[in-house]
Amino acid sequence: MATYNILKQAEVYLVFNSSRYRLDVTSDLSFSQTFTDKTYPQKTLHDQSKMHDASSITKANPANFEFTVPALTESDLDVVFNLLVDYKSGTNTLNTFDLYIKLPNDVYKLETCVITNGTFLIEKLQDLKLTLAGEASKLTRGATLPTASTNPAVTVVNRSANRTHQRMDYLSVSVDSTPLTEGIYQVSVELQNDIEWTPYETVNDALSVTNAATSMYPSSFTLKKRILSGSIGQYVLSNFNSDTQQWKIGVPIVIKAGESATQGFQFNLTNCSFTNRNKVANVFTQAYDWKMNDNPADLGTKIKFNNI
Amino acid sequence: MADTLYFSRDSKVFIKIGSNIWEMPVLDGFSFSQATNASEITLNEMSDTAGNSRRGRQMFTDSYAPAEWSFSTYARPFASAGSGAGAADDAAKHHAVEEVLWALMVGDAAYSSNTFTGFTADTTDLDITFANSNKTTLGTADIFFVMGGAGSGTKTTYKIANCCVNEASLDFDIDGIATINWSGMGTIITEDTAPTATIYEAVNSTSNFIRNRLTSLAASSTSPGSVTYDLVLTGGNVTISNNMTFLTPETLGVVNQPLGHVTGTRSVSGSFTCYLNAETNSSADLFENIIEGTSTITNNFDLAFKVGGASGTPRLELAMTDCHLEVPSHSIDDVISLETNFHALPSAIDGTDELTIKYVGA
Repeated sequence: MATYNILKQAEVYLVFNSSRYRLDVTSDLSFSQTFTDKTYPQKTLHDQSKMHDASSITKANPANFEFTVPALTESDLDVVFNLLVDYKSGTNTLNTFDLYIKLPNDVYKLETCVITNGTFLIEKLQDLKLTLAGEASKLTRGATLPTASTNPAVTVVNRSANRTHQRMDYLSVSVDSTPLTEGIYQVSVELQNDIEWTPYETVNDALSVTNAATSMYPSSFTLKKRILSGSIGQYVLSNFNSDTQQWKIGVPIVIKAGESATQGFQFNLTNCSFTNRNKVANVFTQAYDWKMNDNPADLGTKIKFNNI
Repeated sequence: MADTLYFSRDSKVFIKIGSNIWEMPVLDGFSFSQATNASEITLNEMSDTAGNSRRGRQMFTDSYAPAEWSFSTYARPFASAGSGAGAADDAAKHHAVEEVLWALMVGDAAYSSNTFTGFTADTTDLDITFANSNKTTLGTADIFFVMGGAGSGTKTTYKIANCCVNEASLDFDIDGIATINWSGMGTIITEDTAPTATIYEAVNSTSNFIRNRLTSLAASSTSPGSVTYDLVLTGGNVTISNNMTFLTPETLGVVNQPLGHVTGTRSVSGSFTCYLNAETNSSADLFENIIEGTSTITNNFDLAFKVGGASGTPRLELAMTDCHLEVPSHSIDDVISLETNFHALPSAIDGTDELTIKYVGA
């Protein structure tokens, strides 16, 4: 009897540095990969009946994926945060990892994954979360999840006994060294890792392509640029209106969001710019749209999770 | 062997904060439940060559919904004896049997020196304010429903953990006793052992009930017009809501459990009815002044409900100094009435003074 793959039964595993981590993810999990079909016309002067183009499929586009993990008090999911933020040791590029999506009767594998976007979900009515999107070299179905028996080189990292989700009980925001102590209604932070895959389409390789397995897949990438930006929404108050419709550069922005000052996400950014715009609503608000201009050697010293 | 059945009339309710446990006499009609949030996964196949199309479905439990509870209590103020088993105070200060529920409604419900945050109890009365309620979370307590608690047989006790009070509603049924309908949520229902109350003063007293028939309403306005009205109530309602929502994770592969509550907009509103009366500054003038006040976009009425009478004891006073009144609607019965909806507002949008509550014990 045929079986189906049901999202609710999916388990996500991340393999990095020969360690396998089980991730908690929400139901917004998605992943895909497409192939490029270069069509060419078959119609010639001698054969006017060939109206339909022929296909030449030799190249796979980078795979993409997206999932959301909760920000736990335990350190179980720190590896995801570190893969988003930290450079590969001694380089100016990012670490790669493999993702496995295990279903009761099937396993999908995403090879050479890199996180290209991380959105820190800081919401009053939600627990603290981190949404990650990225690209990968190759997506295959029918993979084998590495276990102690199938791949002794991989260490299975055990989860903590508890999963303590973090509520948004503590929010501290300061712009240009002024604590915004009142009227904050929205905070968002996003880190973009702008990567470019090294061109991987060659005539020589194309000659040996006969099926999906032998197609040309991307294999390496360059980190071109990083953007750390966000928005802070605040009501225009009589005691917080001096920045309305202003802009500044070279200012510090500090955001701490989580269960306490030392739990959750901490952003301690020293050199930022912002533009402030007034927004007309039932109650007038102002939005600080900010961006970090600093170039720290280690972004992990500027963005911390659970103060680590 | 005989079955062990339980009757709602044999049930007792206890509320626990820290090591303090209040006995809470509730009326018949209490309820509690917890639902599950489930996803239904279906197929939508087209036909094969034989006309087959699989039509099955699968169900997955995503999470538990927050446990919901509701019950009614009488408003029962009393002056503490100041001593004795289960005493509410070590001095003759005024309290209410149901005061712990107000503590959960108006603040963090921190209990110290026989009183709660936001409470001012003295030998004259008990004042309750919302001064400490501008918070994202308010106080929580464990509520125990003891089935068979009033009998001597086998008891079954259900505990709802981390309960918050979402709403309190007072109906002025003229022929009744002042009753408050409470409802709220908690994280999970579990079976537990019956607790032993540590504070239960006046629970068995029969002198602390308030008769609604004695209720009076003092109403005056500054906008539109400065008028002191003379209104005789025939009924009414005041509803206080914290508009709570609950946080629940959405992780795949586990049955997620609620984490806790988050407060929403605090809302105090209600209505009152009175006969249409053409006397000067009575209900006909109230209607006329409001409907003709087209230059006033926010009315300002000072309403004070004195449940149980203006000066008698026991009584419960609800003072709302900045009320926005809607245009009263006429109710055509044997005697024509006016029903007026009101919204108690704080003096400023960041204020907490839309309602103050005063209990005066006998």
